[in-house]
Amino acid sequence: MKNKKIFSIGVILVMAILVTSTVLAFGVSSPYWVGNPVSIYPGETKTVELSYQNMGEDAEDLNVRAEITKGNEIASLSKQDYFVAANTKDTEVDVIVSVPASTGIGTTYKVTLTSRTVTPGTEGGVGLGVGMDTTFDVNVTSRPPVAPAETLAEEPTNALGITLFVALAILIVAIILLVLSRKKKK
Amino acid sequence: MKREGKIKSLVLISGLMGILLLSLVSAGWFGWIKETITGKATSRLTNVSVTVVGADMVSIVVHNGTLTGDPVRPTEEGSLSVLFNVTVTDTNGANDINTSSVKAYFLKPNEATRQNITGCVENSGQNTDTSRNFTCTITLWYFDAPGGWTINVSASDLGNKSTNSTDYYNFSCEQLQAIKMDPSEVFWNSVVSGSTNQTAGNNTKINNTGNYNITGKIKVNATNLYSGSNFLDVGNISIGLYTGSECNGTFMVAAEETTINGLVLERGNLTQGVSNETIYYCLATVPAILPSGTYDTNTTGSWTIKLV
Repeated sequence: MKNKKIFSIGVILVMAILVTSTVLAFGVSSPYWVGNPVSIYPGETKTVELSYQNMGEDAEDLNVRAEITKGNEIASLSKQDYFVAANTKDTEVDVIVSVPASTGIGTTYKVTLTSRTVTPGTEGGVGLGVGMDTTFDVNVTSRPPVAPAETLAEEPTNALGITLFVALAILIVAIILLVLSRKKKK
Repeated sequence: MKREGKIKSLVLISGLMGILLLSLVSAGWFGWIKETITGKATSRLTNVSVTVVGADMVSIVVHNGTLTGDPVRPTEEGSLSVLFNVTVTDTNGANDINTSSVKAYFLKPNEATRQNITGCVENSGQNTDTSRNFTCTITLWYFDAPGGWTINVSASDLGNKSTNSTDYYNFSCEQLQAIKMDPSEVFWNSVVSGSTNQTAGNNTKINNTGNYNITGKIKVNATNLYSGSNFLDVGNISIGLYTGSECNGTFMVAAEETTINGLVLERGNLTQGVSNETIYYCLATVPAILPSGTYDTNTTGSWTIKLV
């Protein structure tokens, strides 16, 4: 009798009503990662283009919130909230990296972009969302040297050629002088 | 008068011989003289190759620029066709090129070689007397490693039957962190206050759908389940990796990221049964004082399965 009473008043329902089962697919692609750093020189600003993906047979549209959770002294986002349509892989996320001019060469930073799907709380159950930490290194390097103006290749100097040229010039001048002197004598 | 004429002729011949000698000594002399006088050069060094017609093998140029230009971006749980153009040149004449011989490969140490078995396709209408253009298509998969890949292209010559290959062209593949969860909800059937070890009515399958190794990098950020102002502390919920182990697995901490130990989710080909794990949920203890009601995440928001 006691047990029956507990059952009747103590029952709790956790997600008694199962909402339609859905699949959640989410990805972040990045041209840089830990071990494959972004190189930047003091005073430079660069935009690192990451992208959100939401691919798959049963994919549904996603809303994603982005946040810089590490390295926000040098990194920022152009916006925080993204709509990632189902079956797309090209929702661009621009992380703007800007290093002060006074930063020493060889300084390294880690930047982490944290992305979370904004998932409704799910009435009658436990909703699941996906989050991702995308981390990449930023290495401060020296400014690349300005490419020197294209220098014209020098002609190879040919010592023999020069000697011949000088000898010929002397010969010609000598002949001319000889001719002139003979004319004068006449 | 006769003598004067002879002298003039001598002078003229000497001058002409001088000019001729100068020309023969070096083709660059006029330029040198001009440069000396005006400071401006008339020519620069140029590499010139001389070809002996008849026995040359083909040469190959891979046009990297015909890739995206940026790193190649893999597709979550999918493939990506990477297209690029190749020019094969045969100085003996383009007819000497074996057009069915042009093959391309993507190579990376410790990775499976990616190739198009059928070879590259000739682009009609782009031929020259000595060259043929081809488009090569190679498929990269979502689990192919990020980083630098080498493009290797080979082609052969009908005349001397030699094959030439080149492998000094490169491109980069992006890192892709991606997972797929199925389903995206968890539910329990009716449970009784004071009961223990109540396994959830479903579990969650997690697939690694990218090229990032996730082993040991999955955390769950759980929130308490509310029914009005009453709540069920998620400290009572455990996650395990095997059915039957879920009630002695990793216990959640409200609003904190808890690592699920033991998950092996290396990148790999899902069709081969790898790169996926299933996690099981258990309500290890249902507090006896908990009033009846429907406890859910509607108030506090969903849990987050996070890849770090």
